[in-house]
Amino acid sequence: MNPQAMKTLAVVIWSVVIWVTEAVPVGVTGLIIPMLLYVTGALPKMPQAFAGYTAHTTYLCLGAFIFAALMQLSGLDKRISIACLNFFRASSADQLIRAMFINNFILAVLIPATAARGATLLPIVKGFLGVFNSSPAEQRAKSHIVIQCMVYSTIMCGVIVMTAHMPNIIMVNLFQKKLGITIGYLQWFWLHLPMLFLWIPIYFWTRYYFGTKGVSIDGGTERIKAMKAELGRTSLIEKILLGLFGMTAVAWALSGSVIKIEAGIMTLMVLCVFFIPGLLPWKWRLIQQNTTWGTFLFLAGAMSLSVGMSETGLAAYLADLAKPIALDRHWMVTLVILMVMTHIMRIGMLSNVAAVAFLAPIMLDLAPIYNLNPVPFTLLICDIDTFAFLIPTQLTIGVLAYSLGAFTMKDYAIVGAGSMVISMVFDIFVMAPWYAFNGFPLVP
Amino acid sequence: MSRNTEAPGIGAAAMVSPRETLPREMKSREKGSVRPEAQWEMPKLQVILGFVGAWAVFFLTLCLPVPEA
Repeated sequence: MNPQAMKTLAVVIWSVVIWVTEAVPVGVTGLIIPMLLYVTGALPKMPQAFAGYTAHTTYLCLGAFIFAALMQLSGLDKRISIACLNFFRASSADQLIRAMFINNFILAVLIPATAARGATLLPIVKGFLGVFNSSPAEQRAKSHIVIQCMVYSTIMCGVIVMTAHMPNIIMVNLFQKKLGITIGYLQWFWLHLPMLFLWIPIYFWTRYYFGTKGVSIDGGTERIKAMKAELGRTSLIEKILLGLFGMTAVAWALSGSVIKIEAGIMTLMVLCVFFIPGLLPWKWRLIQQNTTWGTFLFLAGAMSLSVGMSETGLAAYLADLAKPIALDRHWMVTLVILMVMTHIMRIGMLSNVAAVAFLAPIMLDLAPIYNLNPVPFTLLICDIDTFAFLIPTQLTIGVLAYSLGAFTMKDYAIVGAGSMVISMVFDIFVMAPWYAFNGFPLVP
Repeated sequence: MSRNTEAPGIGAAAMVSPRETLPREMKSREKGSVRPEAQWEMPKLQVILGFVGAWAVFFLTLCLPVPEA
């Protein structure tokens, strides 16, 4: 190990302890990490130490955070959710869960960060829980709805849309910095599209566990109508925002390929349109209050740490240490061993971003040791890291869902363990071949 | 309470009224807005241990000899 890597290791250990104990707000750690990388001499140049702050993907996310703030201010997020439920006439637990999955997918395109989407869904799900009676079947249906709609669907849809889940951004940035491979917004979407089908086996498993087949929601349709009536007619600003978001989506889709401008810069160009004087009816102060600056700082800091681990050789050193764990085994066995180890490590961590910031650079260096392609290898392991469903405290969205008091820890753990096994099997037998089909074979 | 009547820039001096150069908190006080009351609370033991432990392990790691590859 070289001295730079050792200094980076000190920063990594500091970060992990702070993230696990939540001793410092995560947004502040996003500033402290690059500062420590700089002052310790691990990365003695400012642009290296603060690499996360100069990445294109960081600004893609910042733009998405501002768009999400505008959406929340206008109430468009709530209107989309209720319109979706109304369209699918959710009058049974099954229908509600299916409608909420589609709603989750639409929200994933529009709102970055799973916690932000969870905050949007929380009052809607809470409203639905109120129409249930206290019979055992309905109690179990409530558990099923909360776990599926708020946790599983939100997380799965997050993996599919690049901007919907911060670990995606960390991986894309690492692939670009370390391997020179650029994965665009649309390419990411295509690469992860089969993840939509992961929802099906998980849905049937959770339905089997909770026994909610055919449980009807008496008064569900009326509830949706009441929610819709509460919102009133679509306002002018909501229509304007829908148009602007449509334009942003087209810009993201075309950036890098048709238009030779990176997605981050394209996002900032789109912001110029959003902020044409007189277009938005809110003062900047209000918009900035609703923007998740802490998450932005956290993301940029975590990305700086990932790049630092990679550039100083620390990731390679740790990968070399981890080598014996799964050396000379079939690639499927290698994946299973590493996925299980990742899940064990994740039990103590609340944040997916933190876990992937630490894991992704190691996986990137571990792959060549096992003679595997680093891109699909990192994606397969880090995507599985996201499906940490054993205890609610592993995910911010899990904590939000738990606050509704609709399920027990035991139910969450049992149904979560089953879902994690399903996701691992799906990852190996569906995602690995799919990546290979799209030019990223795991075994070169 | 003394007021800062210095203008922020040379060119702007003539255009900026003393009212505009007041610090933000003074303006807030004039408007009658209430600042949030400072409330200290004892951090949880986990937080204290995490904070102290993180810095201790950080400095310890920096002092350790670099292992050979």
